[in-house]
Amino acid sequence: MQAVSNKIKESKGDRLFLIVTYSLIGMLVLIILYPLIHVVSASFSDPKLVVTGKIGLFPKGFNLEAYRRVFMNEEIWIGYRNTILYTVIGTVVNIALTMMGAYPLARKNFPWRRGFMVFFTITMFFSGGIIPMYLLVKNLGLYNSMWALILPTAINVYNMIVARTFIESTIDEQIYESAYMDGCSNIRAFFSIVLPLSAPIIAVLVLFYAVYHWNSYFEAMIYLKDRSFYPLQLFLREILVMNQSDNVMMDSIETDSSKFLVAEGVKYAVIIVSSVPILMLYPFLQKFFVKGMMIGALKG
Amino acid sequence: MKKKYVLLLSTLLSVSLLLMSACSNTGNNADHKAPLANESTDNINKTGMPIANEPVHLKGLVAKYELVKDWNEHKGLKDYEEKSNVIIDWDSVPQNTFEERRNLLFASNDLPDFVMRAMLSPQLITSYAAAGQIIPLDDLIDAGYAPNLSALMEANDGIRKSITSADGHIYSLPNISEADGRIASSWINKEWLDKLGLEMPTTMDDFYEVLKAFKEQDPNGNGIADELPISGYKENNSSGNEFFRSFYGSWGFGGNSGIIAPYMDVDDEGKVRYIATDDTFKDMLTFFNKLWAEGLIDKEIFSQDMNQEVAKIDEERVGYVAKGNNNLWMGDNRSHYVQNPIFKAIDGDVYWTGVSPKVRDLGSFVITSKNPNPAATLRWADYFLSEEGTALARLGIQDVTYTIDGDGFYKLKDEFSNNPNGLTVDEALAEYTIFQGGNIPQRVTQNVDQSAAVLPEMIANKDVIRPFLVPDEKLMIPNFTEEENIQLSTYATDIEAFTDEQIVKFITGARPIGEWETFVETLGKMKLDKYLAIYQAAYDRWNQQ
Repeated sequence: MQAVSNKIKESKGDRLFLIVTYSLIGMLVLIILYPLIHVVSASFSDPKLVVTGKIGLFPKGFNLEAYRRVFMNEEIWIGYRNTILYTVIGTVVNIALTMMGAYPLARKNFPWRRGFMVFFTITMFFSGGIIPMYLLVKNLGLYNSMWALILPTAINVYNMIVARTFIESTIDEQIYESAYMDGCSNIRAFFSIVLPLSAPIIAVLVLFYAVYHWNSYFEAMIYLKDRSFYPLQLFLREILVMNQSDNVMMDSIETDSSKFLVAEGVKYAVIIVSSVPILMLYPFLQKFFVKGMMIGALKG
Repeated sequence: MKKKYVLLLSTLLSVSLLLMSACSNTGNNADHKAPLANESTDNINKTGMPIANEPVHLKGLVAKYELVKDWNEHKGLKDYEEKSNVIIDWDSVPQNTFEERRNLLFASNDLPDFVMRAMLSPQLITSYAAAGQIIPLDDLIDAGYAPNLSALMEANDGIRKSITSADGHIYSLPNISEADGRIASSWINKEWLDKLGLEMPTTMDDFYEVLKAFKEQDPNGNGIADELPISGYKENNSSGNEFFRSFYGSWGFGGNSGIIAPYMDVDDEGKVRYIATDDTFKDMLTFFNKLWAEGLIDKEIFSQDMNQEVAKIDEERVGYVAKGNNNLWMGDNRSHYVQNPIFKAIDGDVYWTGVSPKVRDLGSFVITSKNPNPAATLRWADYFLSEEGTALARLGIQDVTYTIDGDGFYKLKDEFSNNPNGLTVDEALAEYTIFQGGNIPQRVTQNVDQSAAVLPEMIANKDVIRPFLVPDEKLMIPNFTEEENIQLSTYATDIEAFTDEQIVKFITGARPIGEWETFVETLGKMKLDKYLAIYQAAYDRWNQQ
């Protein structure tokens, strides 16, 4: 846009338009960026200044105590390992099932297509609730294993519908026809035509599913017993709770309030520790993201 | 065409429903078939160690306090396991996620053998007992499988009264706290008093003058009128504000029963009374409204959290705070504060109501109906009610973490009380003790309590209010029947929330005190009388026992 200004003189209206646009976007960026930077700054600052609201954009009273408290706990590495494991395996399973479900439903000549769609859709709105779910997981022998976190959430119907719409609208029926003429089977069509052409939607789904697995803790809380299986989020939650207290009549020997002040910093450090790895996924998928989102959503 | 889909769909649905019900059926059957083996009583010793001659294996569920190590790898418990021959496979759930797990296990009837640190409310105990999921312990206690509890109950019959549920059974073991930790504190800035040459106030009027002086005479000497004569913080789990509650006794409330529920005590005629509708309470509100209007109360008192409040204390800006049971909660300037005496606001008797009953944390240990070895389980838990057992719970292993001196006082070893790596005592003891966070059966005496409450200066602080404590035998612990519980839940939440909200409005002047009558009437419309009648029934039952 700036390059244009050299050649053709902008009219006053154009210039005004640009100024307004840029200042609006600038404000928006500020609104979004400020809290993020604040969190980073606060995690490196003296907790006392954080509590009294003296931290703005830059850290004051630089201090790493909060991070020391988080990483003092050796179990956090177990948590990282498990979370990465669950995220990778879980996402692979998710993508495989979602695409395999979406493809036949996208084909117009698939028998009972609408019936299957209705059947899937119902599960989006009705579920058995937590107690039957728990009993089911337990009776399937998944209790206290990592599969309890992966199999019950192996597919998300909403995401599958997004994928179906994408396949339906981007891959023309005629492509299949010409493929069949050359002797291609349905399975070959899926692997050689549908999957390569669905790269944008797969990227979007990877992001959706990976973030979900990364952040999830509720299933872990209910289905896991051994600490060696705990994901990162559970350990972080423990560290957070451990460092704060709001019950002053609680039974403890040493209740030094200065220790609880550190909790303020720990809160922020925990946010950084838990979100930085997944944030790093964004830049790699971002270019697909806009494209995939739009196509999936418009005709959904 | 369309019909075909509908048919298919309904077939699919019904098949899946069938499958689902089949699944849950087998689940239930498996549950009920679990053989309740007859416990061989020959194996269990009624006194001494080991508890069982042949090892007994149990499955326990526990709310693991975050600081404490996994109960399966806990050195203190391993030591006890060897001594007792009771081997426990723990489902050691972090406390912050415990409630969901416990409720889920009880709702799906997938029960462990027993629950430690169960944190069951009396209401939940009653309903689980009514469902037959937890068992009454009285027969086992009478049969001698809880020797320590039996001895305590014999010495003090108030204990049996306190731990008996409304249906006449005992379902849980108590935490008996005889140490000073059960007495709450409030703190006045002695340094400011001295600086301004003021006497320690003893009446509410004196206190008012002192607060005014704090506000106007710049006791922290920074030249700015930034002093906050009264400060406090918003608590998450309790009704009303602590600064306000700390003055109940000054207006004579709570003397006959303690504060039995939010805004509730018993009057001189033995009738349960909602103090928030009492005329004396109106005087109290009027007084605090005056303080608020004159800027003597921190404007953020109803919104800030404890960390923000501590930061203000650290900045030397606070005159009075009601909080905690020792002054370690008071931040860096803790040495400036002392316990204030009771400020008399009325002519009659005044009290200190910030004292919890000796018997507390009911619902910290329950045995489920699944347990094949209830006697061994009960003995295992009862051990914590002995002095030796409480020492295990609070101090760890003798000669490893603590020693006993000639006078019978327990003393933590230096590397734990003064950890070289900068850990707090609670952290240093993480794999030796289980008391952190409370809620276990134990008997805390000054001998085994290692908290700050046993320091001589802390005892001196408590001595100021000790003569005004509501007597122990009067402190009531209400117990309700299952039916009363259900009724209570319909009234309590609304009435409490409404009162909390209105009291803040009266204090801050958002609602003029002239509307007091309307306030009382609205409470009446919320069926306050029925709510009180339930407590009255519980109180009468309590008195008869």
